Amino acid sequence: MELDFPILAKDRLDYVWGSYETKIEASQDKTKIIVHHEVSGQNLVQQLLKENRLAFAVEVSSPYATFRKLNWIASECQTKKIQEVSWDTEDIVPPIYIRPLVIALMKDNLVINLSDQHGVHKIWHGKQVNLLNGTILAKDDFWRTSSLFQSILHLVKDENMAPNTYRVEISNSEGFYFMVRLNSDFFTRMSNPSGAEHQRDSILTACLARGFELILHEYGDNEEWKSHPSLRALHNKLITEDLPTWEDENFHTDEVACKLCPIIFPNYG
Amino acid sequence: MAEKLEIETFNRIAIEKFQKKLLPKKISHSRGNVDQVGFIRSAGENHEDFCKHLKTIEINKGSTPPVTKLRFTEQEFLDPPWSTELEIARTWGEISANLAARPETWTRINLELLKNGLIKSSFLAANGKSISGRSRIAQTISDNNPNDIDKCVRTIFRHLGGIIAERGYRTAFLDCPIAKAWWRHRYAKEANLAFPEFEIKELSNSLRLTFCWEELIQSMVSRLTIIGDSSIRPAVVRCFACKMVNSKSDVNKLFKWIGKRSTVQALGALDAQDVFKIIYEYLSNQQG
Repeated sequence: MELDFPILAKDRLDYVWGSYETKIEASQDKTKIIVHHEVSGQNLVQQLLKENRLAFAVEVSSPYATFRKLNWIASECQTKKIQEVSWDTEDIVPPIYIRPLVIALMKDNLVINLSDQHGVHKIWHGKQVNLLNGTILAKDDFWRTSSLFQSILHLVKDENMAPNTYRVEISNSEGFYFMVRLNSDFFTRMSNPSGAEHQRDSILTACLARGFELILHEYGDNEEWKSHPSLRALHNKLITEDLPTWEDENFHTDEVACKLCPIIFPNYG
Repeated sequence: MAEKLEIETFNRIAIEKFQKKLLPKKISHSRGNVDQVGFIRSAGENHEDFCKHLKTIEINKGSTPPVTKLRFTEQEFLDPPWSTELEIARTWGEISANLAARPETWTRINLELLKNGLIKSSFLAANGKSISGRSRIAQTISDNNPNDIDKCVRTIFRHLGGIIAERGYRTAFLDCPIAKAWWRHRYAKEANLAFPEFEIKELSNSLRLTFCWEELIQSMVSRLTIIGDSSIRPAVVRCFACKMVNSKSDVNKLFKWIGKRSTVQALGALDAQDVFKIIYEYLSNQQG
């Protein structure tokens, strides 16, 4: 049975008309999120939502706790919906990955003959597709409960460090990250730069450059980095930004870090 | 619902540092050093010194971990049989998944077993081959081969709870025998809820096969996390119990197929029985 189905997503060309947009808000304690789903445009996804054949869904995944769960709410003939998803902190180990989806929720399969009325690319016209229980009709990117930089650079107080010095080390605690050791005064300034944000960001750029060097040193000749979701995310980010990765020969750690986190001089003019 | 057990654990950063200190990189040419030899010697002598090594590591607050009623033999510790698995599940059943996924939790639990004389520190060095942990340590010290000394230290850390720098979060699931039994029991119970016609013991036994267990963990934790879905995993465990996959490459192929299928169909929206039917159909077609 042919399972291919056009998917409405930013990185796909299946649809020429419409979009699937989501907005995610996380609670302070990171135990709950509110997802705003919205499908727009005249297309098959919107038609099926209006026929109440689909559901808005959120996949919650915490690989380090081997936890993954799909949560969904029926569309109730609506093309936009707000969904609240929570989890028990005891079931998960950070980071948590979230992926919004629109899926089919139905007992019987539905055969659809695609045409230009469905808003799909002409490559799909005349094709017969099967809508099954669980078929994915729209999807958004994975989202994590902390930003990539928050999750990759952790500032840690270390009284053994001399004033105004830092050291970057690799840590595998709570997933892979770079631990930036700083003495407490320096740590306080970095946490609350109050007016010195540019200096703080420049230091973080330098930390990231050192982190890249450590990746090269640790994983330059093997693929073990792929087992760390945060490194996979960082790798993806570099590719998305059209930058070389640690797998490329022209990976200049300082240059890539500056491109990823540009150093900005304050404008005194 | 029962209250979760908030037990004392080692501090992860501190334990990572402790392990790194005792596991020098090959490039440093200091493998087999005095610290490593001292560490394995103390494990072999079942001396309180071994516990003292561990007690230097910083801890995170919590209650003292409970211990089993049974005293383990070396074999029971390395590969807990069903009766021991039940005891493990009974003793630490109320620990949250968040704690059970962490090597620092199981290292702390093993320290408590050591302190109570329920395991011997020499068990930690056994590698499941014909010689005991104690003999392996004696042999290693007498041969004085740096690489063998290093390997022996690694075995001890793995059995204690896992080596964080080596395998990250996978380490407790793959390397620590009591953690492995705890998770095996959890997955078997989960599969039994979906497929009550299969007993927990039968489902758990199917997870003892190394190729099934390792592929399952590697996938759920890093390569193909979809396998950990609450509808997919029970169906997979049932496949194992029915011996529908018989080799590492079979499991690997099945998981890749599930991963591919999941890009077009959210199998998590189905119940485990329906996921099993889909897998069964795929495997039947493969064989036919």
